[in-house]
Amino acid sequence: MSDPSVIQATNLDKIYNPGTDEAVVALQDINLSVQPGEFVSLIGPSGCGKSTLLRLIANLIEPTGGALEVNGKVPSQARLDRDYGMVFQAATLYKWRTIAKNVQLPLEIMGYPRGERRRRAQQMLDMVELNEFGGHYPRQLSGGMQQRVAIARALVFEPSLLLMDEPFGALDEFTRERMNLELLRIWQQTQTTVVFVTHSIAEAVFLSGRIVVMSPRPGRISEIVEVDLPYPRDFETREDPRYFETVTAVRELLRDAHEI
Amino acid sequence: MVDLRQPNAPTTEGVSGVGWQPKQIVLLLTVIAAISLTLAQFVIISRMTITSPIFLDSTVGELAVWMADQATEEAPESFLGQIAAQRLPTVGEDNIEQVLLTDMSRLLTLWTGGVAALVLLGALGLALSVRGHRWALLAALVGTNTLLYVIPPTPNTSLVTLILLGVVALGVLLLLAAQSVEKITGFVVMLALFTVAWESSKAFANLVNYNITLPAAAWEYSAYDDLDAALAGLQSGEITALLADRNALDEIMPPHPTDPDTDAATLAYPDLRHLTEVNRTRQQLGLEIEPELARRVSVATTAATAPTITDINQLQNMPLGTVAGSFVEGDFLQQDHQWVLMNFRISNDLNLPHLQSIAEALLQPARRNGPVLLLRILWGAALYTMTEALLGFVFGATLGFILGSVFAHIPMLQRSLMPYVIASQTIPIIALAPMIVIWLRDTHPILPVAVISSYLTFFPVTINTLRGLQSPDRLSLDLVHSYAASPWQTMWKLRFPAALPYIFTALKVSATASVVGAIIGELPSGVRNGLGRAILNFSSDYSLISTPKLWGAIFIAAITGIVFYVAVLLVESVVLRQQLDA
Repeated sequence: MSDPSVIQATNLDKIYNPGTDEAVVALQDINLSVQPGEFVSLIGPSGCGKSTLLRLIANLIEPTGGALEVNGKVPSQARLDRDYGMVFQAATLYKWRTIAKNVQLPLEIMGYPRGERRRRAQQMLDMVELNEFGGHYPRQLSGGMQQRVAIARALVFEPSLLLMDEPFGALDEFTRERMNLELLRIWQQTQTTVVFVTHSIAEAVFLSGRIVVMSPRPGRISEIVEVDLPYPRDFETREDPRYFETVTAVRELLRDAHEI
Repeated sequence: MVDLRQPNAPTTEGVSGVGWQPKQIVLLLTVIAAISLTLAQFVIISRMTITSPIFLDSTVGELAVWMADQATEEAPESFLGQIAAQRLPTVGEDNIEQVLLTDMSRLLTLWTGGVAALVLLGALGLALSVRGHRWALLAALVGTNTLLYVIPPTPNTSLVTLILLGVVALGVLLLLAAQSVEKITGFVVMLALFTVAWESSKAFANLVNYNITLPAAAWEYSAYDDLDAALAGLQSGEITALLADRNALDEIMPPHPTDPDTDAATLAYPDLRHLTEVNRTRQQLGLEIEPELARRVSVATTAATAPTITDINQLQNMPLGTVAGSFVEGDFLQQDHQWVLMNFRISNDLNLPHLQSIAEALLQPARRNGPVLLLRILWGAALYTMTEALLGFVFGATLGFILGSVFAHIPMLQRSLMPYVIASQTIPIIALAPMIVIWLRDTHPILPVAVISSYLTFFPVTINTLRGLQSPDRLSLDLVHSYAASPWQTMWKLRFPAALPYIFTALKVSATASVVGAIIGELPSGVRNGLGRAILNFSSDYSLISTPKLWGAIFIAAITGIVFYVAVLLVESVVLRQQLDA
């Protein structure tokens, strides 16, 4: 374990339908290193490959070139070792399972004993403040609550890495801001590394330590912005001048990226 | 929150109190109609004596007579016969029929009285807004409806009309009075209206004449005193064709077309021809003219003319002859000829018996004076068919599930084998059934039937299992993939639970199909105990006695299918209760 990075991407390429007329270069020459405990956001206009990069890390797709290591391993090994938890755009709760059973799903697949499953699921539901809803079914919960269940499910087996693909994109502004605070609290509580895909500049600045700004056609990293705001952050962070400066900086970078 | 229900705000009750709303007027009229109709039924029935023809012809009356017959027999097998036999020692053999008839008439009076009481109770409850009035009205509806199966629709009595109207009034009342129409209320009301529609369509069909005709011109002809004179006339060319009795012509002239067995030289009139294959239907502008030429009548003509006549319509403008006073003259030539513009009859007692006749057939011995009621025989048959269907259902559902799962996991097999699975359903089961019976001849007789039944069952399950297993979306699959789940885990944690609603939809289709399959399968396989054989037996004899039995068998078959369907529905509601709850 000479390399302490959680994620290490070197000259990473991804081409969809390679060798055909419909070939699309989704990612080109990506170099990125994420350190343990970091909160990193990927931001960029649609088609910039931010979700593709996340799916490469999660080993849901395979790269076409370059090297990618997750926890010092090839991504497929990291997936088999259950090194990461993932939260998608939609909560993707299984509607035939209760909330508690949904949170237990990864533990069931990983073969944890029943008592342990229940204990951990309860602990996670406590953390996302849904402990009363364990016996409910997904359709009885609001969108924000469902997404909190999805986060609990992603963290229930204590992965060192949390991958989030626009998890709050479908929520309204108020819920989203509350969820952002919630997420920061959970992140600090669990000490997990988070890679967070978003298309909201405000969200990225509020949450992240570093923001990876990406540009499209072909998808590549145009700039990595350090956010100079101290943790823990709260509602007042959004009124900090440095917050506005960073938002402006990221917005300009994105505009530049788009004009290319 | 602000409470909008302020104490002084005007209520909706105040608005409705000003005047009657149309719905309330209809409701009131319906209540009055229901009460008066039910009371009228009660009055008529309570005044009937046991010698009234309407009572003697009713299902209960006939049942009493049959029970009396059974009681006097040694060791009656049927349950009702045994009950009657127990009364025999106290009342004596001579009086048993009277006693049983009296009992039955009291039962009927009690029944209608109970119905009347329920209607009054329901109406009262409705007026006072007492909970449960709907149940009283519902029971009254069922009770009145039952009368349609009991009372014979004899002419010149208003009783059946009263009952029909009473059922309609109660049905409308229930639909109007109910806050919301529940499943049970809706079902019972619809069932009641169905029986009313059935009986009314019969009454309507009897009233309306569906035979619309115009007078058609009769044929000109010369009448001869006897056959010899007529034949002489034909030979001399006075007439071109002779209409006469087939048997009389058979002996004396050769047929046309020529029959090699007949030696023309030995016959009395070798130069005449007896037209055996002439078309006998009279038509004009493609519409029939009645009467048509009877089978026992033949046309004779000369050997030269014979080939030119193929149709009796050609005879119309020819000089014709016949024997005076013969069958042909009376039954064809002198009849009023009618051009039939429209002729159909949708319901007579042969194709659509009264509900009462069907109920009666079910409650009477299957064979004349036999000991066992038809209902009991059909019930046994239904149980047997249900066993076959259950076996077929289990076979088919299992096969369908396995096929669907294999296809879902191996796309190559799906692409290559699915066309054959679809093709299998285009083969008419009725053609394949005898083959399956022959292949499985040496096994248990129930097996081929189950296989035929499963042939109809497996297809919907295959298609829906496949569809259901493929139904999880991309993200749900990515999720389990991200947990590094094995294909087996993906199947049982995600694909199978997601497929269950689809599979149950297919099982509901298959449940009814399996009963149909079992009934069809029984026909060629020689299974004697099932509903298929019963239907075949009753339909082979299409008569006023057999048709109600056939309808009885049809109803029992339908009920069997429904029972099966409901069983699957119950299992579904338990298994998928989480997903079905709104």
